[in-house]
Amino acid sequence: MTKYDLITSASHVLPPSEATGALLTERVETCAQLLTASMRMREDFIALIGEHNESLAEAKHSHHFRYIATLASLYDPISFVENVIWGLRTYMSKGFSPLYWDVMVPEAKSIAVSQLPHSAGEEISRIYDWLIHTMPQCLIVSRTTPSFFETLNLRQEE
Amino acid sequence: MEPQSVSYAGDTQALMQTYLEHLLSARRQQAFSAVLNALDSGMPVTTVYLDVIQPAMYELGRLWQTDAIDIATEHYCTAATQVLLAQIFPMGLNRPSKGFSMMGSCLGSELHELGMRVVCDFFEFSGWDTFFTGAVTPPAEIAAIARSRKFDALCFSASLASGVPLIRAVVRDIRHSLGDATPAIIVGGLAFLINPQLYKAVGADATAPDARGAVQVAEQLLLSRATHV
Repeated sequence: MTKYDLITSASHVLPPSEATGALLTERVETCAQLLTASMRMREDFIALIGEHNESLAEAKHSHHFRYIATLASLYDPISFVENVIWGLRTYMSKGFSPLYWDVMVPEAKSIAVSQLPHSAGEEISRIYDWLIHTMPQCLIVSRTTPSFFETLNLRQEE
Repeated sequence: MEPQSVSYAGDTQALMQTYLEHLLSARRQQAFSAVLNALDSGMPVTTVYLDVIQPAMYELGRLWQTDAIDIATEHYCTAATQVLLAQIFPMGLNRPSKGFSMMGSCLGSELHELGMRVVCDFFEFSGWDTFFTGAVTPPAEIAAIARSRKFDALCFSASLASGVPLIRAVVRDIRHSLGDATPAIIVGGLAFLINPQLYKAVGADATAPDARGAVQVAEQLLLSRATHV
């Protein structure tokens, strides 16, 4: 699978409504705190995020829900995939284990759904279900393909 | 106009690397001297902006992403570059006024203001007056400022995806508030470079890949509006 295949796959996700994005935006910090607390309770937490990365993980959880709220508000499959690839490459370079996302994404889904009205939770679930389902492919692509942000100077030379 | 056909590609690549190496070693004066010497040797200031500083900042972001540098170093290099741009900006002011004005803003929590600063500088180089509001501009203020100051163009930048819905909300507010008197609205930044078609989703008139392109697009939009009156 290539990055293009991932974008094609993500384009089949039924976009959430702008209202759902607004609801999640209001709950970003609550969701992030719950996710951090949940992850910290795991015995393998440090193994998942790497040594000395607790503050980075805490900030990342906030960024995660803010990004999902953004995506819900204005769904764009190209931006979605590029940001996923960027996130995987960036946080793995800073010591996160690939296994972190197997744990974090389902937990984040569960927390987001718990904090939203039923219909909004269902809409958000569509994004999370795509992430959970395609994470193995995203990880493979992220190992071999740079994110858009890493190729900016190459694009400028074209 | 600067001759577009003149190639400084080799010089700019080497200068970019020299500039960045000095900054990463905390040698700010040497970094500035390298650029100032290139300007003294005839390199156009716009070339320094787009072919030296911009790729240096892209490389800086990549170095942070790959954990080659820490966030404090990234901030130091960016802050130093802001100082350099303030020093070299007047060297590009050699065009007569066109009588146009634009406002450039980074909305909400957007902290990445260097790109919009470069955009505003390019508008000034082209004879525009600019109103650069910098980072973290309160979105609620934008429509009121646009209404009171009667700009010809508004430019909004988003480096992060989270800034895109905010730009959409502000553009809606401006169009609702100003109606047919809405200035030309141009959006840019990394979030729009990923997918240039996003400018339509936020209700803007256009996007541009860099500062030079933003000026060209703005002037095309104004020309188009003038010929449709």
